[in-house]
Amino acid sequence: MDCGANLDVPNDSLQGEIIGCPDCGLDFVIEMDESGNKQLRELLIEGEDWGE
Amino acid sequence: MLYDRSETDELGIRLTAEEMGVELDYFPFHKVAVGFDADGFSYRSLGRDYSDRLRDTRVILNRTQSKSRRLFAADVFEAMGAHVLNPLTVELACKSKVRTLLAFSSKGIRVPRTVYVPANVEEQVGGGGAQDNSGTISRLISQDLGSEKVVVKPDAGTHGRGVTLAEGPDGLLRVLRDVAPTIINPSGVVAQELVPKWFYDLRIVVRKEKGKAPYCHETALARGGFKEFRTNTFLGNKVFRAHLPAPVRRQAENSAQALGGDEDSWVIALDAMPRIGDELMEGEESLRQSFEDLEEPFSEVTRVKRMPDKKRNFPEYNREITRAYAEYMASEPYAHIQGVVNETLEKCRDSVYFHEGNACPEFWEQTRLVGGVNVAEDLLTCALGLIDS
Repeated sequence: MDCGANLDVPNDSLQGEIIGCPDCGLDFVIEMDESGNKQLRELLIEGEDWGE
Repeated sequence: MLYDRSETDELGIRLTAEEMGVELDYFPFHKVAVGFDADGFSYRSLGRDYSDRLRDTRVILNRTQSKSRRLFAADVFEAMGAHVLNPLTVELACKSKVRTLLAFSSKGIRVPRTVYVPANVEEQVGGGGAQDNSGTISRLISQDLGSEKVVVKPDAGTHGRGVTLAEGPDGLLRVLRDVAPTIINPSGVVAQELVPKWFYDLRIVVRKEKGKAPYCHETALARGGFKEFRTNTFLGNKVFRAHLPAPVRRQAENSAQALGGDEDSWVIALDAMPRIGDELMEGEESLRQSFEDLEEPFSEVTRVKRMPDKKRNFPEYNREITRAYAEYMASEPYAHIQGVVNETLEKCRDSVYFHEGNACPEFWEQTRLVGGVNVAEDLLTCALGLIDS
Protein backbone atom coordinates (compact mmCIF):
# COMPACT_ATOMS: atom_id res chain seq x y z
CA MET A 1 0.00 0.00 0.00
CA ASP A 2 1.09 3.64 -0.46
CA CYS A 3 1.10 4.05 3.30
CA GLY A 4 3.28 1.01 3.85
CA ALA A 5 0.52 -1.04 5.42
CA ASN A 6 -0.12 -4.67 4.52
CA LEU A 7 -3.71 -5.16 3.50
CA ASP A 8 -5.20 -8.57 4.23
CA VAL A 9 -7.66 -9.73 1.59
CA PRO A 10 -10.13 -12.21 3.13
CA ASN A 11 -10.10 -15.68 1.55
CA ASP A 12 -13.83 -15.55 0.97
CA SER A 13 -13.77 -12.15 -0.74
CA LEU A 14 -15.37 -11.95 -4.15
CA GLN A 15 -14.29 -10.31 -7.40
CA GLY A 16 -15.63 -6.77 -7.53
CA GLU A 17 -15.70 -6.33 -3.77
CA ILE A 18 -14.35 -3.06 -2.45
CA ILE A 19 -12.05 -3.07 0.55
CA GLY A 20 -10.41 -0.13 2.23
CA CYS A 21 -6.98 0.24 3.77
CA PRO A 22 -7.59 1.13 7.43
CA ASP A 23 -4.31 3.07 7.65
CA CYS A 24 -4.65 5.47 4.75
CA GLY A 25 -8.30 5.01 3.78
CA LEU A 26 -7.67 4.26 0.10
CA ASP A 27 -10.25 1.94 -1.44
CA PHE A 28 -9.42 -0.98 -3.71
CA VAL A 29 -11.44 -3.27 -5.95
CA ILE A 30 -10.66 -6.99 -5.84
CA GLU A 31 -9.90 -8.39 -9.29
CA MET A 32 -8.71 -11.74 -10.61
CA ASP A 33 -5.60 -11.93 -12.78
CA GLU A 34 -5.19 -14.41 -15.65
CA SER A 35 -4.01 -17.12 -13.24
CA GLY A 36 -7.07 -16.69 -11.03
CA ASN A 37 -5.13 -14.96 -8.25
CA LYS A 38 -6.69 -12.04 -6.45
CA GLN A 39 -5.17 -8.63 -6.99
CA LEU A 40 -6.15 -5.13 -5.98
CA ARG A 41 -6.90 -2.19 -8.24
CA GLU A 42 -7.25 1.29 -6.83
CA LEU A 43 -10.87 2.44 -6.91
CA LEU A 44 -11.33 5.40 -9.25
CA ILE A 45 -13.63 8.14 -8.03
CA GLU A 46 -15.69 9.90 -10.68
CA GLY A 47 -17.09 13.40 -10.65
CA GLU A 48 -14.31 15.13 -8.75
CA ASP A 49 -12.71 18.35 -9.86
CA TRP A 50 -9.31 16.81 -10.34
CA GLY A 51 -6.29 18.95 -10.22
CA GLU A 52 -4.40 20.43 -13.14
CA MET B 1 4.10 14.08 0.46
CA LEU B 2 0.35 14.49 0.77
CA TYR B 3 -2.20 13.16 -1.67
CA ASP B 4 -5.68 11.71 -1.97
CA ARG B 5 -4.61 9.30 -4.68
CA SER B 6 -1.30 8.76 -6.42
CA GLU B 7 -0.58 8.96 -10.09
CA THR B 8 2.73 8.49 -11.94
CA ASP B 9 3.71 12.02 -10.89
CA GLU B 10 3.62 11.08 -7.22
CA LEU B 11 5.47 7.82 -7.85
CA GLY B 12 7.99 9.89 -9.79
CA ILE B 13 8.43 12.24 -6.84
CA ARG B 14 9.14 9.25 -4.60
CA LEU B 15 11.69 7.93 -7.10
CA THR B 16 13.37 11.33 -7.45
CA ALA B 17 13.51 11.68 -3.66
CA GLU B 18 15.31 8.33 -3.42
CA GLU B 19 17.79 9.41 -6.10
CA MET B 20 18.39 12.72 -4.31
CA GLY B 21 18.73 11.05 -0.92
CA VAL B 22 15.74 12.96 0.48
CA GLU B 23 13.69 11.33 3.21
CA LEU B 24 10.08 11.48 2.04
CA ASP B 25 7.12 10.33 4.12
CA TYR B 26 3.51 9.95 3.02
CA PHE B 27 0.28 11.34 4.45
CA PRO B 28 -3.11 10.34 3.07
CA PHE B 29 -5.66 13.10 2.52
CA HIS B 30 -8.91 11.37 1.83
CA LYS B 31 -10.45 9.12 4.47
CA VAL B 32 -8.79 10.71 7.46
CA ALA B 33 -10.10 12.87 10.27
CA VAL B 34 -8.33 16.15 10.90
CA GLY B 35 -9.36 17.27 14.39
CA PHE B 36 -8.52 20.62 15.92
CA ASP B 37 -9.31 22.98 18.74
CA ALA B 38 -7.38 25.47 20.81
CA ASP B 39 -5.33 22.66 22.36
CA GLY B 40 -3.95 21.39 19.06
CA PHE B 41 -4.42 19.06 16.15
CA SER B 42 -5.00 15.37 15.59
CA TYR B 43 -4.74 13.46 12.32
CA ARG B 44 -6.19 9.96 12.26
CA SER B 45 -7.41 7.32 9.87
CA LEU B 46 -9.45 4.39 11.12
CA GLY B 47 -6.31 2.33 11.48
CA ARG B 48 -3.53 4.77 12.28
CA ASP B 49 -2.81 7.91 14.26
CA TYR B 50 -0.56 10.20 12.20
CA SER B 51 -0.51 13.00 14.77
CA ASP B 52 3.02 12.32 16.07
CA ARG B 53 4.47 11.96 12.58
CA LEU B 54 2.99 15.33 11.71
CA ARG B 55 4.85 17.02 14.51
CA ASP B 56 8.15 15.84 12.98
CA THR B 57 7.25 17.04 9.49
CA ARG B 58 8.70 20.37 8.33
CA VAL B 59 7.57 20.57 4.71
CA ILE B 60 4.49 19.19 2.98
CA LEU B 61 4.50 18.54 -0.77
CA ASN B 62 0.81 19.02 -1.50
CA ARG B 63 -0.05 16.71 -4.41
CA THR B 64 -3.75 16.36 -3.62
CA GLN B 65 -5.46 15.77 -6.96
CA SER B 66 -8.79 17.46 -6.26
CA LYS B 67 -8.40 21.25 -6.53
CA SER B 68 -10.85 22.07 -3.76
CA ARG B 69 -9.46 19.39 -1.49
CA ARG B 70 -5.94 20.68 -2.20
CA LEU B 71 -6.96 24.12 -0.92
CA PHE B 72 -8.20 22.57 2.31
CA ALA B 73 -4.94 20.63 2.60
CA ALA B 74 -2.84 23.79 2.25
CA ASP B 75 -5.03 25.57 4.80
CA VAL B 76 -4.88 22.74 7.33
CA PHE B 77 -1.14 22.13 7.16
CA GLU B 78 -0.19 25.80 7.20
CA ALA B 79 -2.35 26.17 10.30
CA MET B 80 -0.40 23.29 11.82
CA GLY B 81 2.79 25.28 11.24
CA ALA B 82 4.27 23.33 8.34
CA HIS B 83 5.68 24.84 5.16
CA VAL B 84 3.51 23.75 2.26
CA LEU B 85 4.56 23.51 -1.39
CA ASN B 86 2.68 25.16 -2.82
CA PRO B 87 1.48 27.71 -0.23
CA LEU B 88 -2.22 28.48 0.08
CA THR B 89 -1.82 31.95 -1.46
CA VAL B 90 -0.25 30.41 -4.57
CA GLU B 91 -2.99 27.76 -4.82
CA LEU B 92 -5.66 30.46 -4.54
CA ALA B 93 -3.95 32.66 -7.13
CA CYS B 94 -3.68 29.79 -9.60
CA LYS B 95 -7.15 28.35 -9.02
CA SER B 96 -8.98 31.22 -10.73
CA LYS B 97 -8.07 32.22 -14.28
CA VAL B 98 -9.39 35.74 -13.67
CA ARG B 99 -7.37 36.10 -10.48
CA THR B 100 -4.26 34.86 -12.29
CA LEU B 101 -4.75 37.23 -15.20
CA LEU B 102 -5.32 40.17 -12.84
CA ALA B 103 -2.08 39.33 -11.02
CA PHE B 104 -0.19 39.19 -14.32
CA SER B 105 -1.65 42.35 -15.85
CA SER B 106 -1.14 44.40 -12.68
CA LYS B 107 2.61 43.69 -13.05
CA GLY B 108 2.66 44.71 -16.71
CA ILE B 109 2.84 41.16 -18.04
CA ARG B 110 1.28 40.62 -21.47
CA VAL B 111 -2.04 38.76 -21.18
CA PRO B 112 -4.84 38.11 -23.67
CA ARG B 113 -7.50 40.84 -23.44
CA THR B 114 -10.05 39.39 -21.00
CA VAL B 115 -13.58 40.35 -20.03
CA TYR B 116 -15.31 39.11 -16.88
CA VAL B 117 -19.08 39.59 -16.58
CA PRO B 118 -20.29 38.83 -13.03
CA ALA B 119 -23.88 37.98 -14.04
CA ASN B 120 -24.89 34.38 -14.74
CA VAL B 121 -26.44 33.59 -18.10
CA GLU B 122 -29.63 32.30 -16.49
CA GLU B 123 -30.80 33.54 -13.10
CA GLN B 124 -33.81 32.46 -11.06
CA VAL B 125 -36.18 35.34 -10.34
CA GLY B 126 -38.73 35.87 -7.55
CA GLY B 127 -42.09 34.32 -8.22
CA GLY B 128 -40.61 31.48 -10.23
CA GLY B 129 -39.15 31.45 -13.70
CA ALA B 130 -35.74 32.39 -15.00
CA GLN B 131 -34.20 35.45 -16.57
CA ASP B 132 -32.17 34.93 -19.71
CA ASN B 133 -29.19 37.30 -19.62
CA SER B 134 -27.39 35.81 -22.64
CA GLY B 135 -28.20 38.76 -24.94
CA THR B 136 -26.97 41.35 -22.46
CA ILE B 137 -23.84 39.37 -21.62
CA SER B 138 -23.11 38.84 -25.31
CA ARG B 139 -23.32 42.61 -25.95
CA LEU B 140 -21.15 43.38 -22.92
CA ILE B 141 -18.46 41.01 -24.19
CA SER B 142 -18.70 42.17 -27.82
CA GLN B 143 -18.40 45.86 -26.98
CA ASP B 144 -14.91 45.08 -25.65
CA LEU B 145 -13.65 42.07 -27.61
CA GLY B 146 -15.73 42.28 -30.79
CA SER B 147 -17.68 39.19 -31.77
CA GLU B 148 -15.65 37.77 -34.65
CA LYS B 149 -13.76 35.22 -32.54
CA VAL B 150 -14.06 35.07 -28.77
CA VAL B 151 -12.94 32.33 -26.39
CA VAL B 152 -15.35 31.56 -23.54
CA LYS B 153 -13.86 29.56 -20.70
CA PRO B 154 -14.70 28.42 -17.15
CA ASP B 155 -12.82 30.36 -14.50
CA ALA B 156 -11.47 27.29 -12.71
CA GLY B 157 -11.43 24.56 -15.33
CA THR B 158 -8.56 22.25 -16.25
CA HIS B 159 -7.54 20.07 -19.20
CA GLY B 160 -9.32 22.39 -21.64
CA ARG B 161 -12.70 21.42 -20.24
CA GLY B 162 -15.41 23.93 -21.18
CA VAL B 163 -13.09 26.14 -23.26
CA THR B 164 -15.08 27.07 -26.36
CA LEU B 165 -14.38 29.23 -29.40
CA ALA B 166 -17.38 31.38 -30.33
CA GLU B 167 -17.50 32.80 -33.86
CA GLY B 168 -19.84 35.64 -34.74
CA PRO B 169 -22.69 37.13 -32.67
CA ASP B 170 -24.95 34.09 -33.09
CA GLY B 171 -22.09 31.76 -32.22
CA LEU B 172 -21.38 33.72 -29.04
CA LEU B 173 -25.04 33.50 -27.98
CA ARG B 174 -25.06 29.75 -28.60
CA VAL B 175 -21.90 29.26 -26.53
CA LEU B 176 -23.17 31.46 -23.70
CA ARG B 177 -26.35 29.43 -23.34
CA ASP B 178 -24.17 26.49 -22.25
CA VAL B 179 -22.45 28.50 -19.51
CA ALA B 180 -23.89 27.85 -16.06
CA PRO B 181 -22.60 28.15 -12.47
CA THR B 182 -20.65 24.96 -11.69
CA ILE B 183 -17.75 23.91 -9.49
CA ILE B 184 -15.35 24.90 -12.31
CA ASN B 185 -17.13 28.19 -13.01
CA PRO B 186 -18.73 29.40 -9.79
CA SER B 187 -20.23 32.62 -11.13
CA GLY B 188 -20.32 34.87 -14.15
CA VAL B 189 -18.76 34.51 -17.57
CA VAL B 190 -15.11 34.73 -18.60
CA ALA B 191 -14.36 35.65 -22.21
CA GLN B 192 -11.06 36.33 -23.90
CA GLU B 193 -9.63 37.46 -27.22
CA LEU B 194 -8.34 34.66 -29.41
CA VAL B 195 -4.56 35.09 -29.57
CA PRO B 196 -3.24 33.93 -32.97
CA LYS B 197 -0.68 31.48 -31.62
CA TRP B 198 -0.65 29.46 -34.86
CA PHE B 199 -0.32 25.86 -33.71
CA TYR B 200 1.36 25.72 -30.30
CA ASP B 201 1.53 27.10 -26.80
CA LEU B 202 3.99 26.63 -23.94
CA ARG B 203 4.16 25.02 -20.51
CA ILE B 204 6.96 26.80 -18.60
CA VAL B 205 8.18 25.83 -15.12
CA VAL B 206 9.52 28.39 -12.65
CA ARG B 207 10.70 27.66 -9.14
CA LYS B 208 11.64 29.87 -6.23
CA GLU B 209 13.87 28.57 -3.46
CA LYS B 210 13.90 30.39 -0.16
CA GLY B 211 16.39 33.25 -0.20
CA LYS B 212 16.90 33.06 -3.97
CA ALA B 213 15.37 34.78 -6.97
CA PRO B 214 12.83 32.95 -9.13
CA TYR B 215 14.41 30.62 -11.67
CA CYS B 216 12.86 29.68 -15.01
CA HIS B 217 14.12 26.54 -16.71
CA GLU B 218 15.83 27.04 -20.07
CA THR B 219 13.60 24.53 -21.79
CA ALA B 220 9.83 24.23 -21.84
CA LEU B 221 7.11 22.01 -23.23
CA ALA B 222 5.55 23.19 -26.48
CA ARG B 223 2.13 21.62 -27.04
CA GLY B 224 0.35 21.82 -30.32
CA GLY B 225 -1.35 20.59 -33.40
CA PHE B 226 -3.80 21.69 -36.02
CA LYS B 227 -6.81 19.65 -34.93
CA GLU B 228 -8.29 22.34 -32.71
CA PHE B 229 -7.41 25.62 -31.03
CA ARG B 230 -7.07 24.15 -27.50
CA THR B 231 -3.56 22.80 -27.01
CA ASN B 232 -3.90 20.77 -23.82
CA THR B 233 -2.07 17.47 -24.27
CA PHE B 234 -5.01 15.83 -22.53
CA LEU B 235 -6.82 16.46 -25.81
CA GLY B 236 -4.26 14.51 -27.84
CA ASN B 237 -1.97 17.23 -29.08
CA LYS B 238 1.71 16.55 -29.68
CA VAL B 239 4.58 17.84 -27.59
CA PHE B 240 8.01 19.26 -28.33
CA ARG B 241 10.98 20.62 -26.42
CA ALA B 242 11.21 24.39 -26.77
CA HIS B 243 14.29 26.45 -25.96
CA LEU B 244 13.21 29.64 -24.27
CA PRO B 245 14.80 32.93 -25.31
CA ALA B 246 16.07 34.97 -22.37
CA PRO B 247 13.30 37.62 -22.54
CA VAL B 248 10.67 34.88 -22.32
CA ARG B 249 12.40 33.38 -19.28
CA ARG B 250 12.47 36.80 -17.60
CA GLN B 251 8.76 37.32 -18.31
CA ALA B 252 8.04 33.85 -16.95
CA GLU B 253 9.93 34.60 -13.74
CA ASN B 254 8.00 37.88 -13.35
CA SER B 255 4.71 36.08 -14.01
CA ALA B 256 5.38 33.36 -11.48
CA GLN B 257 6.53 35.97 -8.95
CA ALA B 258 3.22 37.80 -9.48
CA LEU B 259 1.46 34.62 -8.33
CA GLY B 260 3.99 33.79 -5.62
CA GLY B 261 3.74 37.17 -3.94
CA ASP B 262 5.66 37.30 -0.66
CA GLU B 263 5.91 33.53 -0.24
CA ASP B 264 9.38 32.13 0.46
CA SER B 265 9.21 29.19 -1.92
CA TRP B 266 7.02 27.79 -4.69
CA VAL B 267 6.99 25.85 -7.95
CA ILE B 268 4.59 27.08 -10.61
CA ALA B 269 3.91 25.80 -14.12
CA LEU B 270 2.81 28.63 -16.42
CA ASP B 271 0.84 28.45 -19.63
CA ALA B 272 1.86 30.96 -22.29
CA MET B 273 1.37 31.49 -26.00
CA PRO B 274 3.30 33.41 -28.64
CA ARG B 275 1.37 35.90 -30.75
CA ILE B 276 2.51 34.81 -34.20
CA GLY B 277 1.73 37.09 -37.10
CA ASP B 278 0.70 35.88 -40.56
CA GLU B 279 4.13 36.74 -41.94
CA LEU B 280 5.72 34.03 -39.79
CA MET B 281 3.19 31.31 -40.59
CA GLU B 282 5.20 29.70 -43.39
CA GLY B 283 5.29 26.12 -44.51
CA GLU B 284 2.02 25.13 -42.87
CA GLU B 285 1.36 22.43 -45.43
CA SER B 286 4.60 20.60 -44.67
CA LEU B 287 3.99 21.10 -40.94
CA ARG B 288 0.61 19.45 -41.21
CA GLN B 289 2.26 16.57 -43.04
CA SER B 290 4.84 16.24 -40.26
CA PHE B 291 2.06 16.14 -37.65
CA GLU B 292 0.44 13.32 -39.60
CA ASP B 293 3.78 11.52 -39.84
CA LEU B 294 4.15 11.81 -36.06
CA GLU B 295 1.02 9.77 -35.41
CA GLU B 296 2.90 6.48 -35.66
CA PRO B 297 5.78 7.21 -33.23
CA PHE B 298 3.30 8.92 -30.90
CA SER B 299 0.95 5.96 -30.99
CA GLU B 300 3.66 3.92 -29.24
CA VAL B 301 3.77 6.57 -26.50
CA THR B 302 0.00 6.36 -26.16
CA ARG B 303 0.14 2.56 -26.02
CA VAL B 304 2.69 2.56 -23.22
CA LYS B 305 0.75 5.21 -21.27
CA ARG B 306 -2.26 2.92 -21.29
CA MET B 307 -0.36 0.08 -19.51
CA PRO B 308 -3.00 -1.19 -17.12
CA ASP B 309 -0.65 -1.90 -14.22
CA LYS B 310 1.79 0.95 -14.71
CA LYS B 311 1.60 2.10 -11.10
CA ARG B 312 2.15 -1.41 -9.75
CA ASN B 313 5.07 -1.96 -12.17
CA PHE B 314 6.38 1.57 -12.09
CA PRO B 315 10.07 0.77 -12.86
CA GLU B 316 9.05 -1.15 -15.99
CA TYR B 317 6.60 1.58 -17.00
CA ASN B 318 9.35 4.13 -16.55
CA ARG B 319 11.72 2.25 -18.82
CA GLU B 320 9.08 1.77 -21.49
CA ILE B 321 7.80 5.34 -21.49
CA THR B 322 11.36 6.71 -21.61
CA ARG B 323 12.08 4.49 -24.61
CA ALA B 324 8.86 5.44 -26.39
CA TYR B 325 9.42 9.17 -25.97
CA ALA B 326 13.09 8.85 -27.02
CA GLU B 327 12.03 7.19 -30.28
CA TYR B 328 9.35 9.84 -30.81
CA MET B 329 11.85 12.66 -30.25
CA ALA B 330 14.41 11.04 -32.57
CA SER B 331 12.01 11.07 -35.54
CA GLU B 332 12.39 13.40 -38.50
CA PRO B 333 8.90 14.92 -38.27
CA TYR B 334 9.58 15.75 -34.62
CA ALA B 335 12.82 17.53 -35.55
CA HIS B 336 11.02 19.48 -38.28
CA ILE B 337 8.23 20.75 -36.04
CA GLN B 338 10.59 21.43 -33.13
CA GLY B 339 12.72 23.53 -35.47
CA VAL B 340 9.72 25.65 -36.48
CA VAL B 341 8.69 26.09 -32.83
CA ASN B 342 12.14 27.31 -31.79
CA GLU B 343 12.51 29.57 -34.83
CA THR B 344 9.14 31.27 -34.39
CA LEU B 345 9.58 31.53 -30.63
CA GLU B 346 12.89 33.34 -31.11
CA LYS B 347 11.23 35.78 -33.53
CA CYS B 348 8.25 36.31 -31.17
CA ARG B 349 10.36 36.58 -28.02
CA ASP B 350 8.83 39.96 -27.23
CA SER B 351 5.21 38.97 -27.79
CA VAL B 352 4.57 35.95 -25.59
CA TYR B 353 1.32 36.15 -23.63
CA PHE B 354 0.96 34.48 -20.23
CA HIS B 355 -2.50 33.33 -19.27
CA GLU B 356 -2.54 30.63 -16.61
CA GLY B 357 -0.66 29.29 -13.60
CA ASN B 358 -0.72 25.71 -12.32
CA ALA B 359 0.16 24.94 -8.71
CA CYS B 360 0.07 21.15 -9.01
CA PRO B 361 1.03 20.31 -12.58
CA GLU B 362 1.13 16.87 -14.16
CA PHE B 363 4.74 16.45 -15.25
CA TRP B 364 6.29 12.97 -15.05
CA GLU B 365 5.90 11.97 -18.67
CA GLN B 366 5.75 14.93 -21.04
CA THR B 367 7.10 17.89 -19.08
CA ARG B 368 9.99 15.76 -17.82
CA LEU B 369 10.91 13.62 -20.82
CA VAL B 370 10.05 16.02 -23.63
CA GLY B 371 10.19 19.42 -21.93
CA GLY B 372 13.37 18.45 -20.09
CA VAL B 373 12.07 19.61 -16.69
CA ASN B 374 11.65 17.26 -13.73
CA VAL B 375 9.25 19.17 -11.47
CA ALA B 376 9.97 16.63 -8.72
CA GLU B 377 13.55 17.97 -8.52
CA ASP B 378 12.19 21.51 -8.22
CA LEU B 379 9.77 20.54 -5.47
CA LEU B 380 12.39 18.62 -3.48
CA THR B 381 15.04 21.33 -3.94
CA CYS B 382 12.59 23.97 -2.69
CA ALA B 383 11.61 21.72 0.23
CA LEU B 384 15.26 21.27 1.22
CA GLY B 385 15.72 25.02 1.04
CA LEU B 386 12.87 25.50 3.50
CA ILE B 387 14.23 22.87 5.88
CA ASP B 388 17.84 24.09 5.77
CA SER B 389 16.76 27.61 6.60
